Formats: sequence, C-alpha cells, structure tokens
Amino acid sequence: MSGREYKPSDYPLPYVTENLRDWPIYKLTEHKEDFVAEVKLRVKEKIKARFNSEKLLREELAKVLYQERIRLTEKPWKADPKDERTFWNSIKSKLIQIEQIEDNSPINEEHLLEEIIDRYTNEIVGEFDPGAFSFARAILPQFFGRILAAAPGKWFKTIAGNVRTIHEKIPLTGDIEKIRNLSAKGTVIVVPTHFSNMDSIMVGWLLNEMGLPAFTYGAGLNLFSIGLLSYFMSRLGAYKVDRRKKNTVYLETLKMYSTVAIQRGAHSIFFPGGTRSRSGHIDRKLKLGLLGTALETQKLHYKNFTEETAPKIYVVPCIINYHFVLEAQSLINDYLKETGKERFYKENDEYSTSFKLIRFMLKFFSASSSLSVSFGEVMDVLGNKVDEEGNSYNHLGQKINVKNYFVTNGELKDDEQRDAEYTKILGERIVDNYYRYNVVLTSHLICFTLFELIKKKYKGYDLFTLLRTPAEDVSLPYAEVVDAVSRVKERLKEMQEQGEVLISPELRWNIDKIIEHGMKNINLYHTASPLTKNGEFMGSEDLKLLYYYHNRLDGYGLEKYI
Amino acid sequence: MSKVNPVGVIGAGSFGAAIANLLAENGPVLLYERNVETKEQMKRERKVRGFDLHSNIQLADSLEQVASSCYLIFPAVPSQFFKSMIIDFSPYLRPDHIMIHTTKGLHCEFDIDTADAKTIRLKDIKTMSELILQETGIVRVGSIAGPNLALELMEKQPAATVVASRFDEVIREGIAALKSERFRVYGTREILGIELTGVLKNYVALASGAMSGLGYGENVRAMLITRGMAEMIYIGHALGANKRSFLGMAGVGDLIATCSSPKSRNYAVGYRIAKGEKLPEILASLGEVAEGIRTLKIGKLIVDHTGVSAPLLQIIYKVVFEELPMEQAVKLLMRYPVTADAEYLDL
Repeated sequence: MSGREYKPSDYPLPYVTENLRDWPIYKLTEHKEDFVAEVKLRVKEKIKARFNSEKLLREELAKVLYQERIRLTEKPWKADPKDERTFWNSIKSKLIQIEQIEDNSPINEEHLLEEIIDRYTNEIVGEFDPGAFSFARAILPQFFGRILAAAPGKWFKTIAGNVRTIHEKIPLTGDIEKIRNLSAKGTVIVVPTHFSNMDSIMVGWLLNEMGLPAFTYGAGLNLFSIGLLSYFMSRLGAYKVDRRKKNTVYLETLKMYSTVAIQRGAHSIFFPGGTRSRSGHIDRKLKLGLLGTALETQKLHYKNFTEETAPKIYVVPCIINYHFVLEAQSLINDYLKETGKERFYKENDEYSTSFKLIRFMLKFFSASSSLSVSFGEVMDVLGNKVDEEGNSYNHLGQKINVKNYFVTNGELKDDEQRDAEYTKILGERIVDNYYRYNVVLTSHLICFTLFELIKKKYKGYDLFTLLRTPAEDVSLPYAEVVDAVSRVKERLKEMQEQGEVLISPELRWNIDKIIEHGMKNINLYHTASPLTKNGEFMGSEDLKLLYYYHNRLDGYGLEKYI
Repeated sequence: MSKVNPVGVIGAGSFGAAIANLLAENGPVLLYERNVETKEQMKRERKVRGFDLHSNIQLADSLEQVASSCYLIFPAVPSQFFKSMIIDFSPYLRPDHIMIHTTKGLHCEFDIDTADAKTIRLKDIKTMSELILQETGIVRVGSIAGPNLALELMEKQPAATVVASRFDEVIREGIAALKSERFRVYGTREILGIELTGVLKNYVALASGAMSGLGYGENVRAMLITRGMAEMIYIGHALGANKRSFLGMAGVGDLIATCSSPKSRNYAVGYRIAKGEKLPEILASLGEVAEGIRTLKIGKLIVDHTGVSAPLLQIIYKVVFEELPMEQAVKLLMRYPVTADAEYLDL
C-alpha cells in the first residue's frame, strides 16, 4: 500500500520530474542520432548472428523482398511514402546482382541489410518536442473534459484495499502513488487493453494527469496519414508501427527500437493485444514480441550494471472500459467475417482523412459518456508483484532477486527460448490482471445478461444464425431481465470480494436504475440501439453490437447465473 | 574458471541413491537424506542399499545446505511426502535453481481415500512439477522418466531416460549432468506427458504382475502392455497431455520394463495379490512405497470424473480394493468389446 491517496481536486498531479528536459523521452530526442545509430547497429548484428552465412542472409533478404512486394500490391496505404516501389525495385536489382556475380560485386548482403534497416528505422523513429507537448497539454484537458463532464456517478471509494478514487471526472483506479514513485526509480511499461483507437490518446493523457513523464508508444502507421494527428503524435513520443510488415528484418528493427528506448529509460506503452479487440473480448492471447523487449532490456541492465545499480523495469497492466466503443460496428463485423478463417486481419484504414477523424471526434464529444480506467498490479518483467521500493515478491510472498531468473550455474546467460517462456509467463499474469482489474460497467452487465438470455431462448441456434435473426423478433419480458441481471450482479459482487473482478459504483444501485443507466450510456452513440425497452419488454436493435458488448464479460463463468 | 557446484539429490531411497551414483560419475554430488540414522550409516559405511556410495557423493546436513551449494537439484521423494519436503525446502530456493524431479506419482489437494469423483476438481490433482511451481519460487522445472529400474542402474547396466521441461536450458543441464557411456538421455518439452506416462504406467505394471501371478505368459503380457498404453493415452489426453510422450522412452519404454520385471515394486504387488496375499500384508512387508496403489486410487477418481473409458484400471481397482478374484477379472477383460487396432493414433 502506498503512502497517500489522491482526491479528485488534486488532479492533475504535480510532475514527478518537473523539468521536461530531464524526462527520459526528451533525452532520447536530444541524442536522437546516437540512439538511431545504436538501433541500426544492434539490429544488424542480431540479424547477422541469426543468418550467419552469406547464403542464409541472402535467402532471408529475398524473403523480405518478396513479402514487401506483396504488401505493395495487395495492401497499399495512403501513408506509404511515394518512393516505396523505387526503393524495393532497387533492392531487387542489387540482390540479383549479388546472386549473379557474387564475389566480384561491389556490394554484398550486408550492405543491402543495412539499407533496409536504415529505411525501416527512419520510418519507425519518433521524437519528443517540449513545445508541442506543452501546447497539447494545454488543450487536451478541455478535449477530454468535454467527454467526461457528463459522466454520471462519482468514483469514490469502491473497494477497500488499494483501489483509489481519483478525479471526479476521471474514473481512475489503481495504486497511482506506487506507479509515480517507481517511475522515478526505474522504467515503467504500461500495457493496456485495446478496444479503440482512442486508447493511446486516452492513456497518454491520463498518465500525464498522474504527473508522469511522457511515455513513448507505437502507433499504427495509418494514423500518421492524418495531418493534425500526425503532427502531434510524431512530436509526443509516438513511433510508427506498420502491422502489414511481418518480415524478420522489420520485426527485429521494431523490437530493437523498443529495446534501446527502454534501455535508455524511456517509459513506454505497449498494447500487448496487438490490434484492437475485434470481438469485444478482453484479450486472452497476447502478442509476445514487443512484450519480450521489456524482459530483454531487464536482462541487459543486469549485464551492464552491478546488481545494486541495475535499473528495474516495471510492467503495469491497464484496463480501459468505455460504455460504448466508437468503432464497435466495424470491429464486430470484421470479427464475424474472419471467424473460422485463418487469415490475417486486414488492417482497415478507417480514419484515412482528417475529415473522417474530425467526424469521429465530434461524435465522441457530443456523446459524452463515462468510461473507466483501472491499473492492475505493478509487476516485474516476470509478473511478480513489486512493492513501493521496487522489490519483487513471488506468489508465496518471498522476496526475490529478478537477476536470478537469468542466471544459470551462477552466471548470467542468454537463452532465447528461456526468455520466450518467461515472456509467456508475464503474458499470463497480464491477462490475469486484465480480468481481475476489469471494472464492470452497467452497460456491459445489461448487454451480457440480455444476450445470454436470448441465447438461452434460442438454444438450438448457432451463433451466426442467432445474430442473423431479425432484431425485432427478439425480445424478452423486462421482469425476466431484471431477475437475471440481479443474479449476475450478486455473483459479480461476490467475485469482487474474492478479488476476481472490480465493479463500478453504479452496480450498487437498484436494478431498475442500473438498467436505465446502462441503456442511457450505451445508446448515446449508436444509431441502432444495442439495448431497447418497449413497455414490459427488452430487446435490441442490433444483435451484433449486443453480442460485442456482451463479450466483455465473457470468460468469468457468469453464464451459469442466467 | 568458476568452481564446479555439486548437483543436489534429495532422498536416498532406491531411486535417489541410483540417480546420485549416476550423477557422481560426472562430478560432485550432495545427497540429502531426511532420516538421520540412515544418513549417519551411509556416512560411516559409504554404502547405500547394499551398493557402494560413489566417492564423489557427500552427504548434506540440511536442505539449506543443498540450496546454497547447488544450482541443479534432483528431488527423488515419493509423491505422498513430496509436498511436505518441498514446503520445507522452499524458503531456501531461488529462481536460479533448476529442479528436475524423478517422482512417478501425483499429488492431490484432497484426501484420496474419501474423495467423491463427481465433486473433485482436476486442478487439485497435481504433477510434481506443478507442485514445485506452486510451492517454490523456482520456474525452471523439469522431470525425468524412463525405463530406469533402480536396481539395474545400481548394477551399472546400460539404460536410457528422458528429461522433460518447457525450458531447453533445463533439458540441456539435465542431459549434461546425467549422460554417460552407460546412460543415454533424451530430451522433450512435453513435460506433462512425461510426468503422466511415468505415473500411469504404475497400475499397468501392477496388472502385469498379477497376470504373471496367475501363471500367464508373454502373450497376455504383450496384450496387456499394448492396451494398457492405449488406456494411458486416453487418460493423459483427458488431462491435456500429448500422446507423443506415451509412445517414447518414458512411455512404452518404461511400460515394458516395469511390466516385465519382478524387480518393479508395482509388479511385485500385483504378483502377490494374484497369489492370494492381502494388500495390507503386502504393503507392510514391502517397506517401501508402491506408487501403483496411489495411482490406482487417483486414476480411478480421474476416470470416474472425466468419463474416460479405462476398463483395465476399473477392473484392477476392483481386484486390489474390492477383492474381485483375478480369474473373474481376466474374464471381464477378455469380454470387453474390441476397438480398431491402434485406434489411439488418431486421437
């Protein structure tokens, strides 16, 4: 438990580090050339070590070229630079040249590798501009203030223990003071759930409200095609991630960028789910690649520093819940289209113009609704709990030295397979936190219950048939819904006592009010209401949306209480 | 050069002693025995169970000493005592320890004599590696299993085993510590399968002993081994294990060894039951633990809970605990409907 709690009026909290120029992310920008050079060099060495003969490296480069050429024809984006095709054509001819004249060629595989790494690194790299930051800081509160202003209900004490109440307008729970303290002692990596494109802006802003230095994070390359957003993101520490590029050289460059940034102390945000949750489920399967860089960096710190001085990396899960998700409709449609097919998601370029973005933002503003952001346990890179001082404790409460995880026979050893297994363990702990620190909102409770009741009523239907049933045919007596909501709510209360989930304060109200609150909030935005009530019956105008919001509470075994 | 740390062995039972002697051929070993008298006697006579204690073996005074001197530790403690041992050991263990257990048994968080198959939870049945993870801060855990009759290992006969762990590093360390000119060591990441096959074979061995007790020969044994293995695969599958491990050295390999050898305790128990002796007398005279009896009880709970078809287990259970005559048991087994041959490969 931390020393102090914060009252709503305390926000925004004073910065842990006052001078922006002392922030790790600013230092990264200040030494940008040096930083970028280190990334390039280290990623080259890593790839050379992995493909350790000219032939292997050449084959791998050919593979990269092949994948990139497919991407160019099949998934072109507006954000792509104009010279993409020229660049890859030149790589192609050079590769052919090397293959044909081998030893007599003035260029070799390594030169080509360097060229590709150069291009990728220059694309990825972001920076931090204190001027732009100060400007954004001045306007963002108004921006978010609008969204949150009408948030019904106050987030005062929820549960005893380390849940804290914050800001009248920001429903923020978690051990804020501990996160602040540890941000000064080591490097913090926030790992949020991912439901909406708003997430990164939302989390970035909240971390700022908490008085933490700016965080660096990977943002989808497609978002950078929007003029205004691009201007700010590229100056506020965001680096570019292109999820279409799945080749080894790109992925290794991206991971190295993150590793070196963390190694230089930059607090980071990772979305370990990778892309936004299509189905509305809390992520269960995490993408471990980027997460692994946290572990890798911790190991490097133990190599480069003495045991006492090695900086520590702290991982903090973060669960964001909106009453409604702006992209819900397109996400769930994607999900239903892709289910059962083994294909990569097509990364939609949904907000490719400033006009679309502004329309999107306007809707968000005008449909002011409450949301909740909850921080889970502060952990080390293996998912062990960490105390106020940054000491790690295992599940038995025994104090442990994290360095020992990397020690074999008394010596610090590298082992990729071991570290990948460790990252899986960290991933499991993060997912566990996602479930336990998820705050159940009224709208999610109602959607879950109603959809489960409908499922029960149409027992013989498979999911797809059920979702295609005309919405007007599907309705249930209000009294039946009230009964079921009441049972699920009681179960959720028990689960909160057991530390298995958190519930929003509104869930303490009586059932009629809960249903009213949930309906009001979720229906603010969607044109077809996921929840409807006509006289003594409840139904839905859009079963797919109902299913999407229902999924947020899937995985808790609540079906049994329907 | 860093100094060579000894490898730790916990328990000087017949298998612990055999494994300690094997490890000692490659370097120093620190052996811990809980029973002070046994330990002192070993110290004095440098003998263990009638065999010479390798000169590289030193006897440890405490678990703490093992934890502080060794990075690699092999516990060789019967499953029923494993939990209390590991809890005592836990305060001294760190994440840089690697632990490879040798116990072919399961731990239950409930009383196996009174539990109701309907209400048990499968997660309360734990393999030894799961128990280590639960009760200590060690993460790098492994298991060894294989056709390794302790007596034959002590006699320095050639043999082979499998080291299993989700960590390649643990497999490598295990192989390096154990392998020798007379001991082949295989590796796999399928630790659950390796642990379960080592456990489940116990009751098949017991059945095999019983068949021999009745005077049956090799045809019966071969039939029993083959179908016993199929049954083990089904039970393992229900618990989440891959069939692969059951077909390897620790599966079919161990099964053949224990089902054919009077040196196997489980086999001996079955043999004596078929000869008309009562279970309590047998257990009393055995002196050591026959994991097969526990396996039968736990296995019965598992198959009743999951609904897995396991006729051999069900019938042998009746023979051992409900005094079903062996002749009757054989008739029941022979009458059981046949499946397609080797149908378990399609699982």
